[in-house]
Amino acid sequence: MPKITFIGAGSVVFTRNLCSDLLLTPSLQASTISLMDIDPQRLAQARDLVQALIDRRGLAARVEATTDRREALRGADYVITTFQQGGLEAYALDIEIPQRYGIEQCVGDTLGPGGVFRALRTIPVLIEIGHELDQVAPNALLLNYVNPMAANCWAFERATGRPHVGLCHSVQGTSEMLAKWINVPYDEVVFRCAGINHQAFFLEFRRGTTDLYPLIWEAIQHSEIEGQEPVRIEMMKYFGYFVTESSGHASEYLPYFRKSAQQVNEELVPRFTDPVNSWYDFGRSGGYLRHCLERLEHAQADFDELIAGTKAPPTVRSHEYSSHIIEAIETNQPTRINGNVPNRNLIPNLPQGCCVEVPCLVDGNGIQPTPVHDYPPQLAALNRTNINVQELIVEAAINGKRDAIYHAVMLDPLTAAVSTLPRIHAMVSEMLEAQARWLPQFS
Amino acid sequence: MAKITFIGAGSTVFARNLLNDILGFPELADSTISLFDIDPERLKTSEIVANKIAKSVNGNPTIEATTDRRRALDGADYAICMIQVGGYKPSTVIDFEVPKKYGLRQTIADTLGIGGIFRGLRTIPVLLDMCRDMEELCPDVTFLQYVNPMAMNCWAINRATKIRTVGLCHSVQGTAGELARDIGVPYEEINYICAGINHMAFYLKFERNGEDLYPRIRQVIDEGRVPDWNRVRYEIFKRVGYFVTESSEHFSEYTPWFIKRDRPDLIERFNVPLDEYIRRCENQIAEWEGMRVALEDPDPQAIVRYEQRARKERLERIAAKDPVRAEQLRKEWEEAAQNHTVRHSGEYGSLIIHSMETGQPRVIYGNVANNGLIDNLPQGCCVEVPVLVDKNGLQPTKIGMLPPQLAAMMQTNINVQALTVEAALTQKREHIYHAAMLDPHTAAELDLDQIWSLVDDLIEAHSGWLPTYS
Repeated sequence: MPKITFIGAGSVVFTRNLCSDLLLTPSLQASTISLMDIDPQRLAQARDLVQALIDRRGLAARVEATTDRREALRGADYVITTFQQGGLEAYALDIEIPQRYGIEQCVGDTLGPGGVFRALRTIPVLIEIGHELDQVAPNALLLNYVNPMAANCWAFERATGRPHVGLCHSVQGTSEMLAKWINVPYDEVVFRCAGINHQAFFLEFRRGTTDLYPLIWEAIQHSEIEGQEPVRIEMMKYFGYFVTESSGHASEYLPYFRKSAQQVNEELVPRFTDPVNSWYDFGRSGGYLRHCLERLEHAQADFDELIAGTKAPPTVRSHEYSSHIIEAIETNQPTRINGNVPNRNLIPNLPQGCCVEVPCLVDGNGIQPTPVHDYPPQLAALNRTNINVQELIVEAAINGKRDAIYHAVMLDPLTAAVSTLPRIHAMVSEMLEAQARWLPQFS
Repeated sequence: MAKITFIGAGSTVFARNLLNDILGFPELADSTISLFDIDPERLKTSEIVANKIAKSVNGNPTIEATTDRRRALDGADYAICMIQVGGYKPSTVIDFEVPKKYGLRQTIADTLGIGGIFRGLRTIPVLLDMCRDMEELCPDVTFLQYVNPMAMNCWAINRATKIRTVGLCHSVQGTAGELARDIGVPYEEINYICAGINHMAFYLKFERNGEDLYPRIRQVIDEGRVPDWNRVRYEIFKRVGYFVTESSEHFSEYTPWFIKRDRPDLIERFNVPLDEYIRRCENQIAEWEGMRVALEDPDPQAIVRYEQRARKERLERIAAKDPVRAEQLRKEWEEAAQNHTVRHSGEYGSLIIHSMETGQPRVIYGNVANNGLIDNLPQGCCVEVPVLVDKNGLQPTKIGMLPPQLAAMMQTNINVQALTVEAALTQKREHIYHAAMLDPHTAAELDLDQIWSLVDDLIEAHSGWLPTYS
């Protein structure tokens, strides 16, 4: 039975969901789950929660918890990373400093100055994990959930060359939403989706051989649907395809939507008319940071009830890919996922080696990506504006080049649209200083 | 329910196997099966067989038979191609006999070599004509193409038509099974990745639970257990480090090393069965004739007796080569009979249809256009790689770089394929000469004057089955 290690298990919501999936998978119900976090208190809570899930169902699975990362990794078959380096404290700086320079980030974890700095904090940890795996678990597969996905995976690949896949739920979530919009049962929908993480596009959306895009074009005419996803719908209107990441996110990867606080608050925010947009505060700057701070309290009550047994655990697996991947590899029963993998000529019009999100076969032979050779040029061009930033992040993180950090932010489409080179320089310097304790390699 | 068209349905034995496979799936048992052949007599035999199968399954399939190809293809969801253009006589016999006059001997002659080139030249125009019908009558069809020469045929279709095509063979799963028996590891426990070109793909990985099984294959050589009929492939494994998919008799004619006219000792040493395909064709024709007679016999026991006899003969043939395999097959047949089911043939055709119809993901080995799948083989050539199949259809997976010695060997075969396809699509005679000049076996045996003369003789002998070449 496999040993599955969680690094950053104190992200309790994620640990709970992913462990619930694993423990609902018949072939994995006797696994060893090893939880690791640097915060002993949150780690203990995660362990209690997973133990409660195991006890509740009377499973043979074992859970262990440690703050010693090397011990957690030792002999692991699968490593799931869910940590947030620097936590909410660093995250707040990612949002607040740029905002003073007029960079209006909504989520700020993928691209933009926030994404750049999150990557710089995270990559050294991922690389350390890779090196430790070389020593204590040479065959382990890394399932990385930590953002910014593309920059992190790209750097991990460059520095370690270890087997890995980057996982997100934006493809599943978006396809479910689209199916609902057009009233087609989800299990009858087939789609082909490709691009980069958070900016992949549904190249096909079908039922059998019937193209469902005409129904999507019709659905987005309705104002209640428009109010759910104003940015993504506008992107579809002008780029021709529907993108995977939510409107709050999507708006900050582009130069068009967040040129000033006024544009955000007066033009963009009013277009988010559906409560589904509350988790990023209807597109307001710093919306997701505030959500994270509030969620801490809500989740606490939920955990307590689950541990006490007053609340029943989930009975069906979520749409997260990790349990499906591990099941497919362990049982050699094939499954299909959309995974983030190195671009070894998978999408020829995106740079070689960058991190792309493409359909992958998973079975006993591991993660096997499928090439996408008909990627529309306008989507590739848009992705490349984001890949520019990712490439410079990787350059900075791997080679320790301080200049590359400035270059990364200079090339960020949103930052470049609203700022000047001297101001960008000043902003990056201020961020470097404010975050110095998480960035020892640049001090 | 899906409409599945069999093209060349008069290949009764193969059609019967696929029909058993397809209709054996409850989810496919209500399909419409449309049988097409140009030979009404063979078609009639297949129709009788199909109706028998239809009665025996748990469903209500519709069986149609027609000699009108357009009718058969109209609205098809899947088309399965199993034709043989020109047949055993005259075409296959010509492919063997004319080269023999030049001292050029062949074993199978359906893939590469001078025989493979001419088989490609007479098959490709028919396939393209069929695909043009499909573009009009069933543009969304999935075309399951079983006809050799696989790589040339699929490459031509991919270059010249829009039809979504996958070329299918059983050499990957078949050879993996043979190796499993040689090393005594149950097939179900083996995990492999295989890639290359059809009939020359190699197992890049052959494992059980992470244990590399190649050392055990090496042991077969070290312990002197190489089966007599499989010496060529073990020899190649010894020399290049990987095991190849297509059989020893096939492989001996894809390279210049095994059949040399002034080296009869090689034929002996590697046990190369010259003219093997001639014998197989004659066996198959006799088998089909026996089946036809039995089916038309008013005594319903006639076909039962025929089946028993045919199986017994088949087991004897297999046992002469591979007794373990014969015993395994006998057990599988017995088990199936006890459960009142039919043993699955192992062919990918029904699995692809089932996965596309139900969404159950499977991995098959398919021959598809090399769109960035194998980096050190030419773009667009036809490669054999693992293909994920589900409701999204056929999704080939990325292989990357093959070991250079394998890619180099494949290149020598791809040269011939490229030139044959070029000849077939442009109808330029010069490219037929070029293809033959670049064929590894032909080039090793003949000089350029002989090669040109041989090509001229073959064009002449096949006239009527070939378009005009200028």
